[in-house]
Amino acid sequence: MGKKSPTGLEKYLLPLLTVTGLLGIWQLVAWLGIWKPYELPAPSAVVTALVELAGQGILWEHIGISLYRFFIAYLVAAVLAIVIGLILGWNLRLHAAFDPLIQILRPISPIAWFPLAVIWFGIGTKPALFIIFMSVFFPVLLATITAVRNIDPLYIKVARNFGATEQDILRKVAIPAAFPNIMVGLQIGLATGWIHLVAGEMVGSQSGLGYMIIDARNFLRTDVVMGGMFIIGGLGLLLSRTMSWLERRVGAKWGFAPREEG
Amino acid sequence: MGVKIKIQDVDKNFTARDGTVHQALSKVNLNIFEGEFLCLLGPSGCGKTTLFNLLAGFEQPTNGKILIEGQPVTGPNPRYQTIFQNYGLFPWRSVEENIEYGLEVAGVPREKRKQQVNRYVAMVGLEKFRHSHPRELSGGMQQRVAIARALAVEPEVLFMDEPFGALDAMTRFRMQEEIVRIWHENRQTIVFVTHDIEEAVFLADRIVIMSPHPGRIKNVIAVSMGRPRDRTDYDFIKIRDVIYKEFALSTKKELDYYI
Repeated sequence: MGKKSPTGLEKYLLPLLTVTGLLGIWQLVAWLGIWKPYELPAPSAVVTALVELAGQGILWEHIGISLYRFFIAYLVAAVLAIVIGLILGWNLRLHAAFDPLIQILRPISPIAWFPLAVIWFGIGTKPALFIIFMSVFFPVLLATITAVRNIDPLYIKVARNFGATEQDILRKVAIPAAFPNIMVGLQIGLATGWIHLVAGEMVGSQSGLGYMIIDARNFLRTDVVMGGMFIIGGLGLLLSRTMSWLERRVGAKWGFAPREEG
Repeated sequence: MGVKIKIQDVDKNFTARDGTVHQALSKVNLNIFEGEFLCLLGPSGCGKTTLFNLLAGFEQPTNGKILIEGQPVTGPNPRYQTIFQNYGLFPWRSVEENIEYGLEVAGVPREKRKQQVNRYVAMVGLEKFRHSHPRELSGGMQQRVAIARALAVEPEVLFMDEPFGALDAMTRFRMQEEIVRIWHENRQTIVFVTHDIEEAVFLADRIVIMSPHPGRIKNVIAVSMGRPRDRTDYDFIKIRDVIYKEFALSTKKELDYYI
């Protein structure tokens, strides 16, 4: 951490300076012509390629299908992981039964599931959905289990004193108490899910941003490859920011202190 | 005054990991009367919190029994409410919603819930903060919310475990006056755990002095003073001094706990 924190205007000016600086250097290097355009396309060429694709409507189609896949898989994985996480976090015996299995499956990279995903689900949207699911499910599951197990026991004691049943406690105490930490898991899942969306689309799919990049590579359209990468990065940032915003909204309603943004 | 709580020959042992048995309470006998304000006073390790957990039903005695109105205590019961040192407020609920919680659990209809909340928000003087969340309140205010939440279900007994222990001295004085006033209005039986001698003298009808290794009742001192009590009053200081002596006489070593 530096000595002086940036002022309001600096918060926007400083990153803008970095980005324009880097783009400038990149453009200069491309102009020097050390590398061929297909090895290192200029930023201007990348922008032109994107504008061209957007004009033809192809770009929007790929973005649309990628976002659609992502939301479906993310939603299903997150809901399942939270439900199972709540149950396993709450029930010590079930947790003991399932924990070894989770610990073995968790470190397997979602990418390692590729061969199986294609054999099981064939080519198309399904293997991509499966890969995203795997990459979202485990982070959210583990965060939820930890969140439930770390609930302040005093809350439970208070609830029991008022005669609350197990179900009451789970619904009215455990879930809201665990919420901030579940949210952390949802954020991590969002990031890993988006990363693996592209990977998933590179193998099994005939559409989406991942496919667009692989397809462009086959035609040595490096400008489109890079353009696709920037789109993926930009959309990822947008998703993460939207999530933080949602988190703050719910957090404010439930009276939790806002978490420092990382 | 009838006997509300009967503690009969209660022992409580804890077994450590290595199998050694630690006796936390030994042969405790005590009657607590209906509507009485009773303080359990003693140093750390004297078993007052253990006894408290047994009374509130969070733990079971190893030997002996505890009866409230003739019924053995088998677990926590909404009729006997506990106030903890760390408040135990739900941070995701506003002041109002926290106070409402026990009523929701009890299945009280909405209209009646609102009435109770209004009544007890007013009783602890937090009308202006009814929509605030706990983290926006000071420690003293949070403890008031916890007290209001417990009172809202109209319990017969309040168990308080060093409830003002985390507050600064000035706030603690004010909360002590507050709890006496509330007790006057509601007339519950209150069992109040503390290690603060002045607090005990200010609050209690009777002070149960406990001593450690193993935890047991050493003496019971009646505080026959009217209320409100004046901390600088001659009688107050006299009773306080009796208790100081009580501890000083136990063993010389433990003296440093109280100075």
